[in-house]
Amino acid sequence: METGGEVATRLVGVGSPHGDDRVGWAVASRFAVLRYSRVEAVTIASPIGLLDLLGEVRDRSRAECGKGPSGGNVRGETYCGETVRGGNACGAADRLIVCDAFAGEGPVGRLQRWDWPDSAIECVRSSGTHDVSLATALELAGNLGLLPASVVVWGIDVGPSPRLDPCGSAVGESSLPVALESAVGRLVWRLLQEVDGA
Amino acid sequence: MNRDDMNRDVTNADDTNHDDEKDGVTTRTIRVENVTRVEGEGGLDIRLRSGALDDVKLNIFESPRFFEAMLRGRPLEETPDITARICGICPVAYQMSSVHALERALGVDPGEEIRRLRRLLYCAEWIESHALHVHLLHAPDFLGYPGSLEMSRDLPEEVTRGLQIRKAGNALLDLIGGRAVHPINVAVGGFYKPPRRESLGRLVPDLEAGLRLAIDATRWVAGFDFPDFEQAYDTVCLVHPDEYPMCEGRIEASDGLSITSDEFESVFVERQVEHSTAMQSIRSDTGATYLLGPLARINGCRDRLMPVARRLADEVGLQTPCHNPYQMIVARSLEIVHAYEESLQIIAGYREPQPSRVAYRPHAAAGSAVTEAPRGMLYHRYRIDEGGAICEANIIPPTSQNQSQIERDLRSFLPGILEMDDDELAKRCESLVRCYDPCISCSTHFLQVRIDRGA
Repeated sequence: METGGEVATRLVGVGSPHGDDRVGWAVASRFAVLRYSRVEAVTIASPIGLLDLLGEVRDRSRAECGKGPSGGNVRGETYCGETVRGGNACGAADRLIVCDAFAGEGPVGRLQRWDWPDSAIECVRSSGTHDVSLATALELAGNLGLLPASVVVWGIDVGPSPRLDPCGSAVGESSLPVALESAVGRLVWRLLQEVDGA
Repeated sequence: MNRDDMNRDVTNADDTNHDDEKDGVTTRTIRVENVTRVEGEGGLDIRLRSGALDDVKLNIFESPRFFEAMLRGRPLEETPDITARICGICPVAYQMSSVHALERALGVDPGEEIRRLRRLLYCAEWIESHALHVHLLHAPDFLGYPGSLEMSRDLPEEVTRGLQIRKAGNALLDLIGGRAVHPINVAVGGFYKPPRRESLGRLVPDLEAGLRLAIDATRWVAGFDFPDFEQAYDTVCLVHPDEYPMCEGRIEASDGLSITSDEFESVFVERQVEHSTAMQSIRSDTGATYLLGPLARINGCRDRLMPVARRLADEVGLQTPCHNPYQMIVARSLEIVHAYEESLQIIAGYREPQPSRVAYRPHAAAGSAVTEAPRGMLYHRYRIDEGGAICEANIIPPTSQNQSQIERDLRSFLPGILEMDDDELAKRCESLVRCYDPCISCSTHFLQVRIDRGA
């Protein structure tokens, strides 16, 4: 079993349990199952949850062992959504990898990688709730001193008209379209190479 | 150039902002294609003729959601989960209005423990929604920043504080709702799985910390420079004899109106306007616009705020009734303090509801309810068939009700600033719209379709 390299990595899947937006969660969930050393996989439901996650990690790394920033016990972490944890908790990670769906030109399932900062990331979840896009959340995190040295964003193109499915289906049910199911698998493979190569 | 400028600047590139002269009349048109730092997509059209205001329209061009149609034929039990999808910011509000309306239809009384747990869930949503709006969307307007990104460079501690205030509320929402976005734990009759007392207890230290931060934030916000602008609002909110309004009470207006939710549609009427995919509301009895939301609640129910929030309202000098829309940020901040206080009170006395869900027999029935979403009264009405399926639904969100009032505010506000250049004028108008924390995605709940096939 690969160790995941010496670099502590936090892998964050952004998404929801609805339709094609599940891809970010699917990537994080599959990575969590691998329980890679020095890789922590987390799911969040919106870009603003990234600020909660990074802020809490900073507070936790400053606090006494076993105690939260307010002196209480550290509770089970949730960040605006279902939490999937895998691997060892990294504390302050050296690298942040964010995975999310984006409505691109296609083909559906195309993978795209950006090194932050990159203004092209505006196309990824560009209209989040309350107008906080992923790019805005990353820039805000940077201004607040919450980002690690390395931030990578991976996008899975879900095409210009993604399925929304408002009545939803639970994460874990294998009902993604074939092209997206394949993309999730390919991205997990690419991520394994990326963390192993660090 | 920042993102706000990019959105606003589209109008110049398209030559939509322009001056025309015809027959000695100069028409000045200013268009904001996308109002920034609001949920959803809306624009503003302002038209001036010979230096005087001719018309102003708040354009909602978010696509209609058709949720009422989607509910038809679905089992009533699915209603909370389906309606929660209407909004990612205020899903609890939709769930609360839906379960209260359905329980009234079915004659279900869930009991005191479930009632208190629902208030706790609503407190969590108020904290989360209000904190995000105050700190990331609205505060920059008062401090001269184009947005929260620029503000965060100069005021990182204040922005961090806002995020921490929001986070504790989010954790509470996640615990009770089963998930912070589109919670899954709310059921007709109660909850699928209520939280354990110990789990709630573990949140207390962070809620206490959040309360202290919220008090500091309110003092900070109350010190902003507020434009001197007032409107004679007809404010409307729920009023309860014993508690600050959330899930129960009569609908009362500042002009003395007092009705139940059963009378809602006879008093508050929706109308389709050409420039908006969201329907607008007015009072059928007076023909007037009306105001919902935190300012309406504080104006009507200040004495029912929790003690610290009430004392803080006195300390910061909020005069009520308040008719300055810019003070909505203070009202919102006070409601965060109230929500934290009430959360701690509920948790202190919490007993796990037994049973977690009250049983009921589905039957043909009809019922309505109003609860107080972060942005104001949210009305739901349902008709259920003999088999327990929804056969009719009507959902009227607060932002669509507030639309007419927003336009009226703009009509009153604009004449005083017409000498400004287009860019500054547009910014001032956007800032006024942001006072309402409009949730444009919610407001497009239904679109009337008329087909004219001709002779």
